Amino acid sequence: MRRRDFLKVAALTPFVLAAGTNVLGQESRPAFHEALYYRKKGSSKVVECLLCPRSCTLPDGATGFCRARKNISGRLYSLGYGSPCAAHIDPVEKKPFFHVLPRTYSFSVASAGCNFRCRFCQNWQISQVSPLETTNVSLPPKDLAAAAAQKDCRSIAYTYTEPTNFYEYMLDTAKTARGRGILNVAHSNGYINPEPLKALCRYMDAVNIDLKGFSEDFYGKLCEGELAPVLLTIKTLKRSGVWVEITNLVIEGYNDDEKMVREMCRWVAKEVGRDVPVHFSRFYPMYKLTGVSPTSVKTLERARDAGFEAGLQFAYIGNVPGHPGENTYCPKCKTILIQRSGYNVLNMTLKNGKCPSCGTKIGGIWAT
Amino acid sequence: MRRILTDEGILVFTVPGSLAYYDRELKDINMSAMATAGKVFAHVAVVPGDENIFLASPSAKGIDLSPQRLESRLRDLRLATRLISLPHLTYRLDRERMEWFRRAVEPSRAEVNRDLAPKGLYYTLAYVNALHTPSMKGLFAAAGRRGIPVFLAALGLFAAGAFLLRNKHRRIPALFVISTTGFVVMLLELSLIFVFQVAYGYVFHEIGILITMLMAGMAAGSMAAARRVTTPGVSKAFMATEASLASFCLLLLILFTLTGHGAGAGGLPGRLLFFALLFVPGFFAGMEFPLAVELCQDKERAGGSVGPVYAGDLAGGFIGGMLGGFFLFPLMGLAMSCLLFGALKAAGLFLLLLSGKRK
Ligand code: SF4
Ligand SMILES: [Zn+2]
Repeated sequence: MRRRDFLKVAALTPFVLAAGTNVLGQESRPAFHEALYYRKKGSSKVVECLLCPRSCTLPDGATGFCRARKNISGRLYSLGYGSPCAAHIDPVEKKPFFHVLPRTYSFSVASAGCNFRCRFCQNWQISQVSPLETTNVSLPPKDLAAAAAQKDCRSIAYTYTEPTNFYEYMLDTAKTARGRGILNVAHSNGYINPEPLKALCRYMDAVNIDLKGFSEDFYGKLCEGELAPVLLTIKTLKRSGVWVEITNLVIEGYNDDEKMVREMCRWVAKEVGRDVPVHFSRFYPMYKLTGVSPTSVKTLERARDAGFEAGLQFAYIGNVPGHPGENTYCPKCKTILIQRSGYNVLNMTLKNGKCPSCGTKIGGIWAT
Repeated sequence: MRRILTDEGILVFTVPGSLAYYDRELKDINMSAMATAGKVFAHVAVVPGDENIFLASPSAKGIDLSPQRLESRLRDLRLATRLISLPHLTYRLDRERMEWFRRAVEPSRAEVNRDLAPKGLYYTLAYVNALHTPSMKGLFAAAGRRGIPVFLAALGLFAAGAFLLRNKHRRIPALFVISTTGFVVMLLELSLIFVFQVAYGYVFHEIGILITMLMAGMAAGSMAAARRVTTPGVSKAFMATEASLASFCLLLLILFTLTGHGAGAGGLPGRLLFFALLFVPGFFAGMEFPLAVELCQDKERAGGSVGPVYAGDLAGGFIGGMLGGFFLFPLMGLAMSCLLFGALKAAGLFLLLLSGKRK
């Protein structure tokens, strides 16, 4: 029965469209949409973007650090509105969300650009270019929400690149999706200013934040980013009632220092909540960081143990399919509640968000 | 590969991939791999992922991508695996995703990769360039589309200039010859090293000897020519070396065409042949250098001609080294490149003949 269920879901077209496919949307030029957060600087045509902490000051014709926002005659435009370069149907576990409607599918979209420069980026072909350089399909918010509903997706995921780049598209889609009872979930680096974040939180159901390391040094050297604003984002999300999961990509020799990992876990447990799931994800050589070996399973296990020791209730191991660290255990009686292998849920005993053995309530979104 | 595989054997290799998006470079590299495998094997399948797994086999039976059958085979063989489970296989081998992959790479016009026309090398370089120096993506793409005609036109202009100005300055013919020799010999060396790799599969073990042979040839050539310099036959000797280089290029062209599929080159005799082949262009290049210096001799300042001649030789070599590996060999193929080199040397000979007559 389990197996048949799985196969049925798998047949539900994990991938719907790529450039040029005819399932949804036509190949399109990126549509420009005026940005919501920026201000004019003085009387000239210079603008300052207020969306992320980078605060790019852009003269007429200039494009932001993220390559996704451009000053056209003194007005700031988001370049990727309504025209994603990637749109696929993925298991929600792939995002990864382990506490959000397990075994459901998420209609996942991205348009190009990112406000970080992570040397280990998995999707650098789209994160490190502008929407003007990618092949895109036309998928305005209304159509996107309709397509997700039509494909039986319970959520729309803003993912693959940094969704802050296509903030306006995400926000408008989220509003439409909420109206149709579809969840909004995002996977983000958390590098966004508090004001736009709060506006987004009203429509976001769950966000997975990449907490890439726990030092400014790591963020500066490997991502050309900053840690402090990311931590603020995580706290803001939690306070706004959004379900938060955290992903920590463990790269040996860079961010696997035991002290650092322990400090990070303690921070999460204390400042955000013990029920926040933390995914310790296995690094594979990628993009510009190909000289580093894949993370050993031992290192990941050590990080997970540090998480439990710090008081976290749910620490996972990611990218090691079949590892017991992928399962959800009841924090009280240790019963396996959800058994996974990679993105697949093999078995789920959790009932109404509670442990069937001891009745402990498990944090997450288990029903809509 | 096809020859050593049985009818149900499978060739498996990986190519960079993506589960989110295929940009031009990624499309090309995958399409070229697909076209190349498809040229040799009747059946090719791709399992998409961050690394795409290519499976190529002479028979459809070899490639069985049914998750259920694979899983039952694992069970029959009593192989306990942690990663490879039915859900994992079902996810990785999903038909829709394979279809998506096909559709994603289809718009690419990437061509088949061959031993002596290594298009795949260009696609790989373009991909690595996109990764590390994205600002040069456009240049790479343009070079792929129009690079060869533009390069040939530039070379044609250079040659035409030398022909037109040959009487304006008496050094021009010799400088044209020596700079094109620098260019041609550098590329002949590269092409032979490349073919050595194709034939033996391990160039690094012997690269030192290969390069040394060229150098030895140059030393021997210089010595041989030094004797001629004192005799009045400088011009003739220069023309003779130019003719020899042109013939050598044609000989390589024939060799490359005959052994176009990188037939195994045998043991020691084959290697000795390679060493000899590298010695020869070195020898002629070595000969041309002192002859060119002599021809360009400045009456007042002895040695004043060495600078321009040496500079011309090195500049030619530099341009050859830069363009050859990146663009000429991958885009034109080795045989066509040899034809071009032969033509260049023939042009040099012709120029020497013309300017010789005037005198
Ligand atoms: S969103 Fe882009 S343009 Fe705006 S401040 Fe951040 S990097 Fe700069
Ligand atoms: Zn329990």
